[in-house]
Amino acid sequence: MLEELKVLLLVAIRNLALHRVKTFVVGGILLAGSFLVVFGLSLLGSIENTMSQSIIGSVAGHLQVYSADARDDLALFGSGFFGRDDLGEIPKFEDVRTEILKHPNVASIVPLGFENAILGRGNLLDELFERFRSVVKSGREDEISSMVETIRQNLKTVRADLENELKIASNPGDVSKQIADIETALSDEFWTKLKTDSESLLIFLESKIAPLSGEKEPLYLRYMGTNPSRFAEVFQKFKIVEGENIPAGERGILLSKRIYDTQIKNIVARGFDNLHKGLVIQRKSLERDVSLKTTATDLPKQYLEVLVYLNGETRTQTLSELQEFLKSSESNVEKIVKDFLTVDDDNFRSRYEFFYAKIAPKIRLYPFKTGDTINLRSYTRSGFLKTVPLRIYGLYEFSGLESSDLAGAFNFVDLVSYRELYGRMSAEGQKELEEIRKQISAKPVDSSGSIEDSLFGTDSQLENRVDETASTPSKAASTSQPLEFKRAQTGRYSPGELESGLAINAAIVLKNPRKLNSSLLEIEQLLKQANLNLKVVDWKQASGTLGQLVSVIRVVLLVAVAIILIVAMAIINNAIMMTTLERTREIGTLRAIGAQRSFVLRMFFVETLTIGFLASFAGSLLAVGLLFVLKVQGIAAPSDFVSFLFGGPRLYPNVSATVAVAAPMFVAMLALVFTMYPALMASRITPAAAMQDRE
Amino acid sequence: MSVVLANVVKDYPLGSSMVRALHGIDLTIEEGEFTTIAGPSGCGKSTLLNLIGCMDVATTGTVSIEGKITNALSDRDQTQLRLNTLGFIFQSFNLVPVLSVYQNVELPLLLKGGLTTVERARRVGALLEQVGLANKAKNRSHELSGGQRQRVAIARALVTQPKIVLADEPTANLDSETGQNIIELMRTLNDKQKTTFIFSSHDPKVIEHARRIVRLQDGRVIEDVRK
Repeated sequence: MLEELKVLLLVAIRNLALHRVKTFVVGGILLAGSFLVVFGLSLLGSIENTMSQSIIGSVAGHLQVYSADARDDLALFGSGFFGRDDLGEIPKFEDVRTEILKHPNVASIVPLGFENAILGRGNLLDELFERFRSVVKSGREDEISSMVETIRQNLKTVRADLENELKIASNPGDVSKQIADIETALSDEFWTKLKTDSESLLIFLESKIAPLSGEKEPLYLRYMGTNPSRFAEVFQKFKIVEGENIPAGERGILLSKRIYDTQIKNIVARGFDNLHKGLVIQRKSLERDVSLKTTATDLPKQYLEVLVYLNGETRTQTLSELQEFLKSSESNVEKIVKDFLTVDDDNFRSRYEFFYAKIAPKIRLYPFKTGDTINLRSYTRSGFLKTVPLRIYGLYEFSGLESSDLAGAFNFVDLVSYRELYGRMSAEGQKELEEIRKQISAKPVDSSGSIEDSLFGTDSQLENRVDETASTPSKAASTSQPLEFKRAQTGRYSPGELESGLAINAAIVLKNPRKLNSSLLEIEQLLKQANLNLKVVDWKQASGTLGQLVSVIRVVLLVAVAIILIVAMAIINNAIMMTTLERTREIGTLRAIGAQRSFVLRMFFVETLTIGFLASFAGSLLAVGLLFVLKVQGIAAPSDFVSFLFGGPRLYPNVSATVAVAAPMFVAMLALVFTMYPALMASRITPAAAMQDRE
Repeated sequence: MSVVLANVVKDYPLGSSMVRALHGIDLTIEEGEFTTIAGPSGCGKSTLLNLIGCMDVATTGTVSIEGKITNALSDRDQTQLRLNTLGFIFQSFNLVPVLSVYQNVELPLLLKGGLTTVERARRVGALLEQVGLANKAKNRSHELSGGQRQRVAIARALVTQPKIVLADEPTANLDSETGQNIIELMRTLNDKQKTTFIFSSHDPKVIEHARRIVRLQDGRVIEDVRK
């Protein structure tokens, strides 16, 4: 038997050597196929691994629970970003927590709830007039006149906008009146009042003119209510990069560093940042990258965002610094700033450095910073706009995912504030309400919304200025004043409140993630027994479409590989058929001298297996080699989105030993299957074929 | 009685009609005979040898080898019979091109199995010695001349020590001197080992070396002489 195998092997190797072209084609195909399978699957496996770490380690945990009544599926990383998914609610999180912690494999559970808020960014003219007021107060003549010039420039822009608006306005009367106001503000006689009655001039600007420029585009912030300290303890990737975590019992917000830098930062600085990333780090050029080109073209148009922060001293300082830097004699600050902001591939690097060295320190880079309080506005479930003032305790990011918009999509607030924005009273709030009711002996408010909405609703004093002036004074004045006073005192809450009461969903972290599937079923069972109407999903499902991405890519890859392999196998089949024809006499001779059909079959199989294993394992070896090189060097993520999948800026792929061995075996076996038919044909060759006289 | 053919008829399909290659052949060949089947090409020599060699089955009549009727045997048993009882020498030598001389000769032994490497080496060595190719054992067949190749083929046919060796025009592809040498070699082996040799030929110089000449014409035996 062994001897026969030796001969078969020898015949196989000799034949492979003899039919070099066929061997080359077949071997090449098998090598490429095996390489593709090993490389592709290993890479995908690695991505799935890093992606799962990104998802699990940022907000999802291993499992998520949420109401079984939810009309939408939980999609942590978005199904439609600003759509408001109906996820139902977990009314008493403490009960769920108790039940779920009974499961031996559960390490921790974190209550969550997410929502979108609107953050007004203020108004450029407001800022300008505010500064003008202080300049006027200081009485520095040169500064005042330079600011007047700036203001008039701005007003001209606003006028141009309004004139355009007039053409399409449905209320031309109002718009004409607004234009008339601007004309007033632009007239020389208006400015003479500066000497005589500066206060009325300022009031006119602030009340009539400022609203005309419109708010800056409001910022949409996705926020997630949680128990901040537990969150930080459970999610290892979470780290505070500035300030501190929201302390227990305090209301506050943690902003995503990513959002802070890419959406909140001064727009000129952001422009510089984006261009720096594209031109300096990624070494692209403006010529070839459309989006960079747009950023560069837009940059000079944002000159006001720099200018508005410059007053007297810093203004002249900037002027002379820019004159020196640009070697220009331009004495108009506006023009020289515009010139400075007009960047190209060659001057960008030095301008970027100059911007951060000389200009950035003089302007306000961020509208708010750690320690400030911002008003987070959101619609409650009953549809009322609700505002809650929140102190910014700090900035956070997820390690390794610093540059990912997906991972940095959330800002964290304490769950108590979340519930308030959601329209649910805190225990403190309810007590407070009771007291107020006693004080004013009010009956429960019967409205379409919930009680607290009518109390803290749209006309609360916490709204921004515009709303305030617009609101009717009667009710607001009577209820909001004492309430606001009280609230300032009772901003704190008992830390236990975080984990009792409403949550929307909760992240479960397991001790042993390998048992994820069985734990999921067992937890489902636990919840059912406790009569809690909740559903449990794994991180993949919970993350929305993102979680399924790798599965989809894998299917696509496997289908592609399957097609390639089938084509390859057809070629192999054909090649073997051809050689079988050529070898008819040889096979006939073997049959004539006493070789059984099975011997002929074995001969073909050994041949295919020899080339199959050699080529497939060579392919696998090549793939493993390449993977090892990449494991050391890393694969750079081509985009921020991919960096989320890669779990960081570079992917260091893992080599799966199972894949590296199983895949080439599979490919070789597949080749064997496709050898069946030609081999069978060969085995049917009659011994009489030996007599064919061909040599 | 080594080979017995009784009223053997063989028809071949040719297009839609049948062509009769053999018209009722009765032939008995004794053990140890050195027989040639002679006749012009197309007379049915090859058909006759194929039937004896279990490579083809008679349309009617019976062929028996060593007392065994081969018509009814399965492909497997026929193959087994070819391996154990018969040896073949082909007109075009039909060595396995990828194997060396030694490996070619050894091949039937490997197919048969049951012998140790040493035993096989002894047998192959002895045969190569007898056919005068001991020094070519490691060569590949394309490095040999026609005569040498046919010697290898003879060694291969004899290595299993078959009762009967069949040779279809063994000298047709050789020049006449080499051909005669090959026939001489076969005869020597026939003398020594008492192996039955049946070979076909149309070459009178070759035919005269035979001890028994069976002449075929148009599928019939027209002459059967023993010298």
